[in-house]
Amino acid sequence: MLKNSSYPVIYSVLLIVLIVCIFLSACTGAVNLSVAEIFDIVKHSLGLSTSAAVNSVHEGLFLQIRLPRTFLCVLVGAALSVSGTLMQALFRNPIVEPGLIGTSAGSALGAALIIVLGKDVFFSHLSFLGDLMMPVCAFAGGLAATMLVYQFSASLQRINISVMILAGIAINAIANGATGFLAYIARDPQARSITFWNLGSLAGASWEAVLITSVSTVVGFILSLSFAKPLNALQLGDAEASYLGVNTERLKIKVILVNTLLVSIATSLVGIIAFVGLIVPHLLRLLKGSDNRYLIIGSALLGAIVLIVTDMVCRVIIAPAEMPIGIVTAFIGAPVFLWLLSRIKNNQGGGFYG
Amino acid sequence: MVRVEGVSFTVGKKVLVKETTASFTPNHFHVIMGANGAGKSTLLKLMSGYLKPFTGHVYLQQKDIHQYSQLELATKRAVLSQHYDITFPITVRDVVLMGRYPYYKSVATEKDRQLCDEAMHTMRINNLAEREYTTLSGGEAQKTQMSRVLAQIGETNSNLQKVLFLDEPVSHLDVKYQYQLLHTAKDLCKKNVTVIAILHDINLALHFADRILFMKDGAVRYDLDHPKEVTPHIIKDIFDITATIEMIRDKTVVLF
Repeated sequence: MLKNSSYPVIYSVLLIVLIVCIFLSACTGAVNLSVAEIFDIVKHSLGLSTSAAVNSVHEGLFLQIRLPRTFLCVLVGAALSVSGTLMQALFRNPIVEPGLIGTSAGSALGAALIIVLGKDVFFSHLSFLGDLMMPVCAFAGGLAATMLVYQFSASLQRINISVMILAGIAINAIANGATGFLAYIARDPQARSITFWNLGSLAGASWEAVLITSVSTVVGFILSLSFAKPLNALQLGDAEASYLGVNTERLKIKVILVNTLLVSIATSLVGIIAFVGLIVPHLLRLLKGSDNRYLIIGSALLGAIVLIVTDMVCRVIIAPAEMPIGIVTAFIGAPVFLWLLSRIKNNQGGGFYG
Repeated sequence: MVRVEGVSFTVGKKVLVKETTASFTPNHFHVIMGANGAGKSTLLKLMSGYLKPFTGHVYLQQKDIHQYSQLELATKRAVLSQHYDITFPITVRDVVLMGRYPYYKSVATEKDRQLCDEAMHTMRINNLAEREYTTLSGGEAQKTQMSRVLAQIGETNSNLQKVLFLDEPVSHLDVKYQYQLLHTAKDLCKKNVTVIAILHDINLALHFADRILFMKDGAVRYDLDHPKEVTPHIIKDIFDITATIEMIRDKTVVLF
């Protein structure tokens, strides 16, 4: 239906769906709020209405828990999906995502270091730096892991995909092993938080988290858009892209840096959420082509939608308890991934979508 | 105008191109021939600025090719490679439009689109414009890539010196389109473009070439300013096959 629509139409449809999802997410949970109540709360907190009819418990719930969580979903979903688009374009391979090439596991290790060794090790006396230590370490860990995998897989002139997947397995194993070791030596509450956080959870959402992620996601998104055209050219191959005027080596470094920014900050705050970055770009390609500008904008919107909906499922499915989001994305994402693989297998042309 | 001076390139201990010197002039159709592994493609990649020579220099319009920025270079030369491997779905029109990437920033202008349409018209693939590239046959894909390269060459006039590199441009084409593609390249020669092509069919080369360079063991062994001077001895030396050369209706033909 949308295949013949223009890009602006697709963006508009996605944006409308996203806004509806934001409202739904703000309403649903252990306590259901009505849209009318939400408007009352917003008006009340902005000082536009003086009516005392607002339930103060609900107001606190909405402003301090529901709303930051919903926004965090939007930002993290967008960040992971844009990252998936970047990685797939860079490696010219449809099955790449941040989880496969070590970015997530490396970031997780960086963050686990801070959880276990504590902020007291680094700059604890400065509270502002203390808050930033976790994202910074996550970034360093994610970057180191991604660069290692990249170095292994980049041979003389092209990326060797099978080496990349295998190097990804090895680097993931090292990072996961180290994270596991930290969980083992950790005091109990810390270990629990590492475990939970390896499965991904948005329960810890706060306005500070929203602020940090919004900076990384918005900056990453804008930079990603500037890579859209060179990444399109890269689809022809390394040499061909350089014949078209792209400095491919510099492009690769820039894309990896931006990708690490997007993924590591998100991972440091919500844990590892797999498969979102893998599947969202595919859905968009099935919808309409693979121009990277469209994929990047579309990923930001659709990724946000997918994560909001998944998070709602997590909150509702075993209410009043909550399912870690990584479990749900794995259960939905892995079968979709296998379905995509079967499409390669059944398509002798080697194409994914033909 | 392209000039290579004492250019060598090695991978590990294997010397792919050694101490090669040659120059290529506008308005000429140069053909490079040689057996498999003679270093033709490597030399082409060196001349197009993709690979950096270990020794020697490549000059494009009197300036070392590695002193141009990639973007500058992209407006001066275009390259049709041997293989293209595109994974993701993209229409033929969008592939051709990539040829204009060096000329526009984020949105293609009307002129860019017009040049693409002309290029597709030249290669007679207008009917494929909305097809997905991954569903094309080998020949259709080759014509699409040639259209993209033509779009990249873009405008030609006597003040612009552009270079067109073709690496086995007709390997997937039927006879009719082999001639059509090479005629297209030949037409560009008349518009001040330097054409340098790697071909495998000696008779096709004799039909189009203004000059033929035969390579062996990473070096240019014979450089014929008049391709008709080709001899059975040269064919034997380069390809290790016995041939006779006949004149048939004013055309030099190599028979095996």
